[in-house]
Formats: sequence, C-alpha cells, structure tokens
Amino acid sequence: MTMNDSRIVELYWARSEAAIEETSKKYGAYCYTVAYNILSNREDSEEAVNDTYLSAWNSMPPHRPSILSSFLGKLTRRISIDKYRKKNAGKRGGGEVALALDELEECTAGRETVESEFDRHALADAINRFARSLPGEERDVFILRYFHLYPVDMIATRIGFSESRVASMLMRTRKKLREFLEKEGLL
Amino acid sequence: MTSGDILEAIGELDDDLILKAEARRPAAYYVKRSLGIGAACAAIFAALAIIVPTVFFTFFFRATSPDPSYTGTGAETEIGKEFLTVYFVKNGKILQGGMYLERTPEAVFDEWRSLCGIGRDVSLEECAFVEKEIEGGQVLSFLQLTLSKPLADQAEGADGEMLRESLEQTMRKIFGVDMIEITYEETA
Repeated sequence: MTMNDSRIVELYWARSEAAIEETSKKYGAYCYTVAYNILSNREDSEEAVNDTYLSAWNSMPPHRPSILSSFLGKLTRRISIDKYRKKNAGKRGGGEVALALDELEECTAGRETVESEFDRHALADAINRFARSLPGEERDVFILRYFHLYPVDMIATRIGFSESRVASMLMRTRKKLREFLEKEGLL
Repeated sequence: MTSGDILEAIGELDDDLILKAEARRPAAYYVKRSLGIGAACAAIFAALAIIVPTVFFTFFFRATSPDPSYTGTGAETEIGKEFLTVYFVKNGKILQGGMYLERTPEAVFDEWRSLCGIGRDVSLEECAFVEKEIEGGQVLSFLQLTLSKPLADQAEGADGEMLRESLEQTMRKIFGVDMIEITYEETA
C-alpha cells in the first residue's frame, strides 16, 4: 500500500530516507514516463528519475509542495530537458522534444532567446493565464502534448479522439497562443 | 523568444492544471461511468424496494405476533453482519467465497471450519490481537489463534498445511493484520 502525499512530504522534512523509497513506490513509474517521453532512452530516463529524487530531497525543506505528483513531474521534466539539451548540444536531436519545438516555432516571432529572469517570469505567467483561458478538453490536450510531451497518437488514445482531431486541436491552440502572446506584447 | 523558451515556460504551469490533464479520461469513460452510477442507483432503489417493506412487515408482525416463541426473521439476523471473504479448502484446492458474517475471529473461524468440512472437535479456544517489535524496530500486528487440536487430517483431501494457509489468508484479509500465529492447545 502506498503512503499519502502529506505523509511523504513529512518524511522529507524529517530528513528520513524512507521519503525516497515511498516516492519511488508511488511516483517512480510516473516520473519515468515523463522522463522517457523526453529522453526516449531507458538508461537516461532512469538517471533522470534518480536525479529527481535527489532534487526533491534537496528542495524539501524549505519547499512544501501542495500537489506532490505535479511537483515531481515538473522536476523530472526540467531535469530531463536539461539532459536532452546536453546530449544534443549543437544538433537538432530527435524524439518528442524536437517535434514539440518545431510545432511551437509557430508561436514565436524570432530566434532571440529570453534572457532576463523578469521576461522568463512574465512568459510563464502569460502561459498560465493562456492555459486557464482554454476550454477544459483543449487545455488538457495542450498540457499532455507540451508539458508531458506525449506523442499525438498516445494523447488520441488517452482522450478517446482520433489522431487528426488531436492534431487539429493542437494547431488551433498554437494559433491562439501566438495571438495571445502578441496581445500581451511578448512577441 | 524561441520555441525552447515557450517549452520551458510551459514547465511552470500551475500544479492543478497538470493534475487535471493527467486525470483526463476518454469521453466514453465518463459515459460508462454515468451508466455505471445509474445502474448502481437503480440497484440500490430496487434493493430498498424489497428491504423496506420486509423490515416494516417484520417489525409490524413481531409487535403483534401472538406467538411468544417468535424469534425473528432472516432479515433481522443479518443486522451486524458484513460481507466477508473466506478462503477454504475443497477438493484439494484453496477456494474463496463471500458471505455475511460477524467480523469476529470466532464467527469467521466457525464459517471457515464448516466450509472446509472440519468437525466441531477442532475449535478456536483463544484468540488475541497483539503488536510485536521485530528486528530492525519495525512493529507488526499479529492475530494469535489457539486451536483445540492440529489441523492435519481434519478434512478430507486437504493437508494441514493447506488448511492452515487458507485460515491464515482468511484472517489476514478480514482483520488486516500483518501476521497470523496458530498454536494448538495440545502443544501450547
């Protein structure tokens, strides 16, 4: 039987190593899925999951996440994307990250990367507001594709739509995102 | 701004949005779930339609029954009982069955014994729930059962080990303890 989330967080705060064991038992498979969607490699994904546990250990305390699964998912995603970038430095790379980057290209205006922390924060805030403005189904498809980096066919199976319906839904959402970012003065 | 910046910013989405997306199921799932809930409601309604009049008549006729030896009906005897799973041995196999029983070791043991076809000379003499600390400081919950005699050769086509295993499985499942300890009065 798995432990409830608040108890796991308490274990981290108590600096008990059982926290890692319980996290692995409850969210190991989830973190692995997030990592594998990005890295498409078993060994790299396992390494990313282990790094996630270490990062969770280092951030709790002082952090006390309200939703442990999302917190771990975000950590795994960030760590896996960093690994992906390091591994594919200077080349295009493959897998879902490369495809997602290509797709999101439609929402950008230039090639200059966001440099300041302030701009990064403003962009994250805008994306959050944009996601909240979307109808439920469309928002979930957008998040499954660009947060979890699930392939389109997997999203289609999961949501119970055809692949073409998911693809066209994503295309419409990207168009809306571009318009939203323009309106916000971020493009 | 590059597509990489957007991808990174999406990683900062609020936790509740991520959780909702993960919980998303096919539309057919919600239809099936609604149908399931509808069917469950219909079943409860049908059960109430049977139980309410039965209980009403039971109490009504009990109150007015001229027979002083009246002891109640089947409906009343179910009060205080729960639907529990009992593992038992039949034809050399461990089978399981669900039945309404009082959640007490004695009642469960009686049912298990009768399902296994064991005679009444094998009885539950004592039982106790205890907690014990094992090596490493871990505390486990035990249910200690003392039987009047060993289980070997007490049921046709079932060895003692199999009977013991089915009794342990039953007690562990019903009482949620970590371990079952069985001893015998002759050897205790």
